Amino acid sequence: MIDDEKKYDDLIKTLKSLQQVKAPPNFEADLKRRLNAEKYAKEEKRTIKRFFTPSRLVPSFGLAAAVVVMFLMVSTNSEEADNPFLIEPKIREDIILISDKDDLNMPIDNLSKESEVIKEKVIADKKDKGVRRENFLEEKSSDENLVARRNELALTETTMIRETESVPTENISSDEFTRPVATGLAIEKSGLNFRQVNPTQKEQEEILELKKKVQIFKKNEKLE
Amino acid sequence: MDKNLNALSDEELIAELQQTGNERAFEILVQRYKNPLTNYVFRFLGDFDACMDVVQETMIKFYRYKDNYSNVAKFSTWIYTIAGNLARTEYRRRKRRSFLSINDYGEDHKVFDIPDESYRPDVMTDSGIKDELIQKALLKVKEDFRKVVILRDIEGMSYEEIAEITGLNEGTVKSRINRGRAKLQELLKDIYKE
Repeated sequence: MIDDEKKYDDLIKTLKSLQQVKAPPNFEADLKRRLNAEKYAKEEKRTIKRFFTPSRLVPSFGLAAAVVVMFLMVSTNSEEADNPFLIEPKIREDIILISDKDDLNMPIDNLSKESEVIKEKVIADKKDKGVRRENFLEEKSSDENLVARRNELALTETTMIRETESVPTENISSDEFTRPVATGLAIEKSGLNFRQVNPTQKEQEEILELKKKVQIFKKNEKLE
Repeated sequence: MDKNLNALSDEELIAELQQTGNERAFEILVQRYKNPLTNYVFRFLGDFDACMDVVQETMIKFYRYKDNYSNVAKFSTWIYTIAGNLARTEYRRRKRRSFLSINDYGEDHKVFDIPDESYRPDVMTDSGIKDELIQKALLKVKEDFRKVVILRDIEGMSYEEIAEITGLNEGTVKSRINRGRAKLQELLKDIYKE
């Protein structure tokens, strides 16, 4: 080791003779300034941390949650929801119009033939009814026409429903429900109208009169 | 009170700072170490402004982590370790930055001479030119070797202290010092011829 020191003796002397580099006179002042700045930054950080601690945020979070809940309640109770009475009804093509209870006992092969015949009958009936309706409506004034048309349509529906209701369900055996049925005759869209109408007393009287007329007309038809 | 504190050793002063938070103890320690640390860091980095930043940062770290110091090691070893680590970080950062610049830093690379104002030749008096040559040669020595050479031959520390500061065993320290000296002598051979 001593040999090494001797070997580099000149170099060591040169290095030791190097002038000492000293810190500037304002070193301490700069250091104090930096330390104070750091302390201040720490204090600021601590204040921010304290402000955002969970315990302090509980009331504000609660308030925010309450506001959100209130908003949701108000928005869901608004009148923007669709009025079910103004929605166009769906066409139920799976519903079958059965006019006679004997149709239920009919075999499938006959059913298809029968359905064709019924179809034709219904179309003819419709045409006949359409002509009669047109004649009837021509006689009424514009306001009365609207009410009358609605009433007539409503009556057509009730007759259709009555026709289906006329099949006594007690007489149908359980296996008859599982049998495939003809789906050719479906309720048409034009036959449905669930729109609310608030007729006046005069209109109601007219409706009743019309109903009576229709019932008399139906009885006559049946007798024929 | 001040007189008493000035008479205390480094270890006693830091104990005072830890126990009572007496800022005067800190000021005395700063006063004692500011010049040796400035000299050490400047010789390692070769840039006065960067050196001042590192020494200031060392003092801040010392103040911030004063409670981490334990009496097992010498205070000088502890503060030199902090300064050495910060200087090395700064040196590497500068080296990375200069990778794209025209002045390629470090050992064995060609150095383009750009006037270095941070060297402050006015402070260096007559031996200014020689000092500048030695400083440039030092910067060409490998980082690990340079550090131990500065600590041994400029700061005058013992091998044991250097081993503690660098975290190496004494044998490695001696070997590195010799390799650093050899490289430095080779770089400064023209000075010796004169």
